[in-house]
Amino acid sequence: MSDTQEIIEIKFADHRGYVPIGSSVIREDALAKVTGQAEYSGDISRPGMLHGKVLMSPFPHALVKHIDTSKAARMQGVHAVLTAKDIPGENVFGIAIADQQVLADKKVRFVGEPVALVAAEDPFIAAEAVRSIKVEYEPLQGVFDPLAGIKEDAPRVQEQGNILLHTKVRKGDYLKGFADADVVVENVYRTHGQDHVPLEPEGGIAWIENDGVLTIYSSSQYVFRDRKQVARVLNLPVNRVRSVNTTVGGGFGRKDDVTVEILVSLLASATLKPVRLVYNRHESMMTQTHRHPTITRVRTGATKEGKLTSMEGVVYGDTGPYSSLGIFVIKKMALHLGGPYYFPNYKCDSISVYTNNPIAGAFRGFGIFQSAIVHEQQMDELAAKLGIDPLEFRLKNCLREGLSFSTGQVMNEACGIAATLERLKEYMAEHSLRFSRNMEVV
Amino acid sequence: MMYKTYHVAQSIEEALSLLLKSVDRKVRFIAGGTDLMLQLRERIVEADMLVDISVIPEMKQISQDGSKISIGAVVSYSEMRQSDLLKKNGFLLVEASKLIGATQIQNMGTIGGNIGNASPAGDILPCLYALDAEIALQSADKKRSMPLRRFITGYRQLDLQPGELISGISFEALQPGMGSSFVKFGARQAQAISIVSVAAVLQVQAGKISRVAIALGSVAPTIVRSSSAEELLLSEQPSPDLFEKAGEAARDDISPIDDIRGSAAFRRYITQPLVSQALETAWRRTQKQI
Amino acid sequence: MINNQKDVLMDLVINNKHISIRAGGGRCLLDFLREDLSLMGTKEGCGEGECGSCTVLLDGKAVLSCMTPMERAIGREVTTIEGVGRPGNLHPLQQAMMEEGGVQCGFCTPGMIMSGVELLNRKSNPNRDEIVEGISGNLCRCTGYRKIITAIERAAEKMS
Ligand SMILES: Cc1cc2nc3c(=O)[nH]c(=O)nc-3n(C[C@H](O)[C@H](O)[C@H](O)COP(=O)(O)OP(=O)(O)OC[C@H]3O[C@@H](n4cnc5c(N)ncnc54)[C@H](O)[C@@H]3O)c2cc1C
Ligand code: FES
Ligand code: FES
Repeated sequence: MSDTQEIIEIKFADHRGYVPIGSSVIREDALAKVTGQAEYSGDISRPGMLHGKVLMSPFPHALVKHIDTSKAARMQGVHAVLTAKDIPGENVFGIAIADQQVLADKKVRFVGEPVALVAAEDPFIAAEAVRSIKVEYEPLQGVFDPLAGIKEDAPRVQEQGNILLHTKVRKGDYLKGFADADVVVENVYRTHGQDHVPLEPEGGIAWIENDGVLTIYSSSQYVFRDRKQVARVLNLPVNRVRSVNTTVGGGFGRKDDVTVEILVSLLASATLKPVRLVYNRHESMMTQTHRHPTITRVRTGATKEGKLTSMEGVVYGDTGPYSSLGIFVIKKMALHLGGPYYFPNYKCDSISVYTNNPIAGAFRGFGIFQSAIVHEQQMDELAAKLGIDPLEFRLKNCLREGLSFSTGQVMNEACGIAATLERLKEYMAEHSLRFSRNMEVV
Repeated sequence: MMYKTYHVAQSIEEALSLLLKSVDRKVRFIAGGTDLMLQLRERIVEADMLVDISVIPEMKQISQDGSKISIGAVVSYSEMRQSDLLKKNGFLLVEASKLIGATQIQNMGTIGGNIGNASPAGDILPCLYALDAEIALQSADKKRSMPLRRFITGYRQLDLQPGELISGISFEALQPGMGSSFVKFGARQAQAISIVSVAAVLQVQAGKISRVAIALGSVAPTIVRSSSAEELLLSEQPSPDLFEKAGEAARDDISPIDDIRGSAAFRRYITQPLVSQALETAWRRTQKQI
Repeated sequence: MINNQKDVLMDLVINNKHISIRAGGGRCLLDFLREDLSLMGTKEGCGEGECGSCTVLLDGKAVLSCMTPMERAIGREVTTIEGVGRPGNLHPLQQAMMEEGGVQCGFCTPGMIMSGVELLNRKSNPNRDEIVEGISGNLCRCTGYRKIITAIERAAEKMS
């Protein structure tokens, strides 16, 4: 392929024999992975290791009235049964804002929220013990849609209110922009949630070293943040916690925030034994973060010559009951709703709303994906209304050096959209491709 | 533990006697295990003892006796895919076997397990309904057989008596001039449970449809034979137009529900093109004599 | 149901070696391989038949070890990723997976290779469609499959 050849021709003045670009490099860890030797979180064990298991809430929103762990605690082979009251430090974590409880204290806020922990000698015993824990819940009205969540009289997911963050981005005079427009396209877009499904579900193992250091091996994207969060909950100085990354079987943002690290640490410090906890797929899907479902109302205007004049949007992001990285993902949507196009006038609000749906967090794309669904369809509709070829329409409006982004930042480098579109145009011409009426390439 | 004890039966008699000996315990037959192991793990089903029937030689054969084709209950999908006898006399079973799960499930899963599980989404079942298959059952003291349509009595319900085992299934070999096909619509091509599935058998004589059977899966509590579509087709001249109309007619015979895989409205919608596709393919095959 | 007894004699051939050990029964083959034999190469991605990461060969056929009762392996032959090839003595498919970039996070890789090996044992020269079908029971979240398919093609070429 001609593209690769171009890349190969890049010459380094002084490469000291190391030219990774253009040469085929075998991954460092490939040999371990093709032979089954790579150690993932669930592959690590220690002598005397116990198996952890989590009791998760079956209710999206409920008060926890009473937890009876007596039967589980008496079971043969069970070494620890923990609830919120057994937490030595603060019962709180969260990568961006510490708003999530480790174990449900007074209420549960989503299906899959951890309520109690068990460490036992065998996974079947651990499962049996978890099943024997009796929790008395008082179900509450829940919030299952961000639009319902922002209403005055909506049930409160978090005590301080259901709005996590309201981001406002303003540039120029959006109303004047619409006054200048010959066509305006207005739509509401809904995007759904999505599970990352890293093929390796979340897992980890923790033990106390001889020197008293709590050691955690886990499938994580960010061990340094993990250890800080663990230390706070365990009431330990940060230098008493050692976090080590195992081989990670896929993360995609899912393992950015703490997953099982705090839970295994609590169990290891309660039992003084190594404890491993690996979620099964079902548990993983319930209790871990997802991609944000969003609802976006948007209005985009252009002149009959095909120049964009204004964009106005409101994004409601369903972040679930806890922030995780939701605060930044939805914030970013307010910045990126216009995509790689130049709008002289721009107004966008994005609102992260707490709900009782699954927690939403980082997921590759990080809000850009949801934005792209919006701006690309707006471009197509405007182009169609104006009778302009959709590719030409984008070329007329794409960000180029010297033009400013929604935030007013002037692009002075790394603005590849025009070159990409030009290349696409050439390619389509070479291959006699064109857009069909419904924007498919034919 | 998902079960306490495990026994591998070497013959039907041994399997049945193991079942009898343990009247007071929860005993289950296990064939491929692709449905049962999941149900045990999720605790939908509980069992003390599993009786493995998957290596019983007399239940592992595909054979022909005159015009009758018999398939043992523990014949796997991979074995059906490779069977020359089925390729010639019941091609839709080969076609369905290819579309079930993927390699691993096809190596493990069995025709008897698909019946035993009695899900209306079981892909082999519409094929067997379209073939008017008979099921063979055996208990310690008696053998019986009946049309599969009567054996499956409702949603996940079978007329399987305590102490009884499905030993096999049989049907009349498809004759030259007859064509068959199976189509399914799922979320993707492999590893997908059918949202709607259709099996069709068609015979054309002197330019007219002389025999037709259309069976649909996942559109009602059990598999449904579409008598409306069949009546519309019989004695008519086959054509794509007619097959489309038959698809329309099939919609009258179904009672789909909304579930996680698809809505009732979608199932109703997709039934028409699937039926007409199945019929067209079967028709094409009447000319090739498969 | 709790059972601490080693009530089953697991007598079988695993990766060409005959073994005979007592183990607690009532579990799936995957758990037996991992917990009792420390053969950690076989992975659990779902535990319910969907992902293929637990694929092993039972008498040469690809099966899902998460859905296979352990006792079913008694008297039979099991091959896991550890038996396919070791560093220094790799199977052509392992080599090709490395060279073609068919490995990213690697969690699907052992199961994927087992399915690939079974396919190559069945068909010496599979075409692209047959390869796609052959690995359709194995999910990969990282690679997008293309490089895995190429790796199987390369391995087939090398083996013929
Ligand atoms: C990932 C995946 C994908 C799948 N895809 C499909 C698909 O595409 N299409 C489809 O139809 N199914 C599919 N299935 C379901 C399943 O594989 C099939 O239903 C299969 O045929 C079950 O057969 P088995 O031998 O594994 O049954 P088992 O699990 O062994 O048994 C199922 C039930 O039948 C009983 N039973 C089995 N044999 C007998 C007998 N001879 N007599 C009496 N009772 C018996 C058992 O006790 C049990 O209750 C899929 C399953 C999985 C896990
Ligand atoms: S773990 Fe067995 S198929 Fe996923
Ligand atoms: S390489 Fe990560 S799932 Fe396949």
